[in-house]
Amino acid sequence: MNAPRPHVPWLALVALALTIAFGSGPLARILQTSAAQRLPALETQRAQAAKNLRQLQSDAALARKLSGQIDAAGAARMLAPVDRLQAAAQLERAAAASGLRHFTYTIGAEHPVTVTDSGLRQKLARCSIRLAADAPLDTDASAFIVRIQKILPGRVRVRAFSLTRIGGANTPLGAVNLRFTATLAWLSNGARTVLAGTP
Amino acid sequence: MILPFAKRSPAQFILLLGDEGILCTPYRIAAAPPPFFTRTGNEHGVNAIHALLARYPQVPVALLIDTLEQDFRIDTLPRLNPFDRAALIKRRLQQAFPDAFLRAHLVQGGGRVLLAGVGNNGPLSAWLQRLERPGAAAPRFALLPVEAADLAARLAPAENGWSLLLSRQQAGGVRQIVARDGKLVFTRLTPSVPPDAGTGEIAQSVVRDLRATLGYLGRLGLSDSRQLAAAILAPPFLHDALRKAAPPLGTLNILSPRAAALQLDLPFFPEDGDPFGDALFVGWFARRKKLLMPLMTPDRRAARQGVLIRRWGWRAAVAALLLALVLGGWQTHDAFATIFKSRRAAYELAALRHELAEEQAATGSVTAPLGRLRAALERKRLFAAPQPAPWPLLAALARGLGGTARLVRLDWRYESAQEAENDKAKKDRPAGEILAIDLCLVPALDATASKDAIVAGFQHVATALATTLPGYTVAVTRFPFPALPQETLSNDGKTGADAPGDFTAAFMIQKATP
Repeated sequence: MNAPRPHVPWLALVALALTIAFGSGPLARILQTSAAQRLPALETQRAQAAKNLRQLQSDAALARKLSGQIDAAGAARMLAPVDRLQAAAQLERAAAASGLRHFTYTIGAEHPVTVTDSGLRQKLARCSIRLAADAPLDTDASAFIVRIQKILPGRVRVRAFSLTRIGGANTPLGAVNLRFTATLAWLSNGARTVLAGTP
Repeated sequence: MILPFAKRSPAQFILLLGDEGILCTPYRIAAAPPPFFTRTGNEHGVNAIHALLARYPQVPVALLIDTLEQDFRIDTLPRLNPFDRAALIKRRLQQAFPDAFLRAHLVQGGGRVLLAGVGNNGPLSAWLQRLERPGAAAPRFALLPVEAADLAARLAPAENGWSLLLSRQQAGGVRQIVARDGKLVFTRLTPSVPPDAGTGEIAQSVVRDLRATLGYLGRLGLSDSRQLAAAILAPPFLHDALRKAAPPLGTLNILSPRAAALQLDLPFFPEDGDPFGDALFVGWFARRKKLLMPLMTPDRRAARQGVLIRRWGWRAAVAALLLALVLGGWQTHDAFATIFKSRRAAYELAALRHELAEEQAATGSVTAPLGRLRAALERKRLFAAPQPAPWPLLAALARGLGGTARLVRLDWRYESAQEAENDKAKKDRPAGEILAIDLCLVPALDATASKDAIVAGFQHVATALATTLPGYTVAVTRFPFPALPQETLSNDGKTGADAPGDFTAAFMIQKATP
């Protein structure tokens, strides 16, 4: 039979107190070190999450605003790549429709350009178009150029335009009376460079 | 008759034990019988006490010992530290009362200590066994002379501090207690006179005991009996006889036990005419919350020490635990602050992620094509931005020419500063809008027209164009013949025209630089 041990409980309590007194310091340091190591990463992630949330809310407001200005189909059209062959065909059709003779065109190679005017980085393509033809009147030539500016996707700017009277100044008017040349700068989305697979 | 009277002392059984009997007094115990006395050897009475104690096992018992088997000694101790002092007192007790069953001491101040020893002969040993109650608190033991020394000082107040209390005890004998400044210096228990003794005999016996005590006190420093104040507890019929026979004393206060109890406002009032002082001592004792000199058996003392160690051990342990918790809390405060901060950051991160996921789910259909929408709108704006074109200038040119000239050749170009910079081959060509034209006059001039007339005609056209084209400069860059400052003039007759009226001049129109 075990002898009673009346002092064991309070001695155990003293031992517990000593353990707490001398063990709390090292334990606290271990816990603090561990927590302090995690804290910067957590705060960085929290700041990033808050930033993402604000950005999302701002985007949502902007998207609602933009959706009133352009729809998805319009956006798709606006961002669609150009078809250079189709553009050439359009030039020829427009020339024929304008009554031009001896129409020649040169669509130069595309050069990539980056536009950051509004802070939005846009990758576009720029190329030069040279046109030459005989036209009945100067108004036919200018109307043809204006038409080209409208039918080609993107922005077509006239860099140079020249007219020369065929014959002399006093030559009577015929079917074609002047020859014109034009140099255009064509800024467009560019042609599709990857025809298969993921662009 | 003894009347119970509520005091603020704890409920208890007070047993005043003498050689001839025991007075059992239940104090503040509900439904308990009144105090009663039992003579030694009266088994019926002893059993009644035993049954009463068994009926209230939770009520503590105090045994006030008034037997002959007790001895006292006053010793003087040198100045020592507490540990050595305790060891010396223990040794002196052992030396003074080697055969005593119970030993105790009381420090009286001035380096003096009262040593007491109680023998195990007589009724005490029997009552020690009877008072052992399983599950009940251990009884307290006290010596009546020690606990009643201050009673003597109260009943016989003395200017020089010497007080004597004499009482005839029902529990046995005549008890004399001498105190100096309220502290016990001497006590005697002498046999009592027979119950059938007369008044004179009783008075003579009391006075004889008193004179004997004065003799002892002379050895303890009382040189003159008139320095002693005495109080004698006696029934009223003895007062006159005692007063006549008493030796010369400082003061002599003879009063009945009941009168003394009333004077002291004790919880127990002895019956009027009661000749014994037992109830008075019990009442005085009942007012004590703590014994002056508790006695303990060796087993009880060891158990008591264990209890004390355990009690103070628990107190020290709890204090140490609290201190450790405070220390631990202080040490872990920063750690927990960091942990809480980390937890809060994790919680906020989770909440933000949850909110972000909900927002993404709610606005996904709206925000997903946002990039394309923005790009498309920006591209639309870019493509629709106004661009320089020759048409406004050409229209103005047509208006300016009117019917005065006919256009033979036209060359319009526009180059931005960047384009001019990039085109190194045409580095000298100015940037901006430039229109070069060749004109012939209408109607055509005669071939014999003078140069002045030809120049005047073209200058008129230039002036008209400049008027029609505000913001532009109009310059003649070539006449049909050399006429400009940078050209060479000659009289060889050639005008530069191939046919009559085919006079053409070149003009340069460009945006004026501010």
